[in-house]
Amino acid sequence: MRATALSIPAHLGYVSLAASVVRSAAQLMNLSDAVTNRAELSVVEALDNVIEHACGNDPSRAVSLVIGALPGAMQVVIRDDGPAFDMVAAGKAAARTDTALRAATLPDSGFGLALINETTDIARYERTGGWNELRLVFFAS
Amino acid sequence: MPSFAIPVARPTVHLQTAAHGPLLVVRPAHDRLNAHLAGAFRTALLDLFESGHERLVVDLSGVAFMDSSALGALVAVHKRCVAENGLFLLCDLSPAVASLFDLTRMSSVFRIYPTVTDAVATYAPNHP
Repeated sequence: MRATALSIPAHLGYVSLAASVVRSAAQLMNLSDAVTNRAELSVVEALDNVIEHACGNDPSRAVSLVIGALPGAMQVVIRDDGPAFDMVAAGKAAARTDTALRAATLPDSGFGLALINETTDIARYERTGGWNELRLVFFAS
Repeated sequence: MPSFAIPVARPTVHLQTAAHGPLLVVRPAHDRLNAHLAGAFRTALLDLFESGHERLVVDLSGVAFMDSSALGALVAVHKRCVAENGLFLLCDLSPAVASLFDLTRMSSVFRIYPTVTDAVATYAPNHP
């Protein structure tokens, strides 16, 4: 059986469309509500980052998703043709979520990367042939 | 973009409000609060605060999904309220939204109540 493929314009307004497809795919695979919620959040955070940082929120560009089943898991592959992902810069921009921080210094952005890591069982980034490819795997249990 | 592209409307946030004495309960009329809406959401809440509603309760009972951008909007409003001696409460988080707060450790930053009734009973007991 073929994987499910979807291409959306690189605009934040389309992320909920992709999220609903991921959620439906997880439900078709009988993943639990908890895993489905994690997968949805991870994919949304990844798409938000790709659209904003790799594609400049430019709807003339496209972001593609391929959703498929692995033994005991769901895999979502996200591809874009933006500039290579800068791990070092992303690490520096990541929010420090230390609850001891005073209100005035609380971060109000930069949570995305940490959330992807927290909600995804395997997350792999690759740069191949001018494409960014982010592979996200969610175990069924 | 090809002419057959699905159009995306400019993000507009709809908030339902109800006064309970000094508290203003604000209920977003959206089941998803995400990066597309986050900027408008932040602006709408800050507009309420700046118009004199300095004790805000955000009722998230209708929000099934929230991403970190919408969370960031809430953090920004929380910071403003704390800086100006206001009050900013959240209530009725769905399991998915509560999980977002836990994962980012923001559940210990905000004052979160199970229901609007609980928040109102705590801060405006004479105005149920």
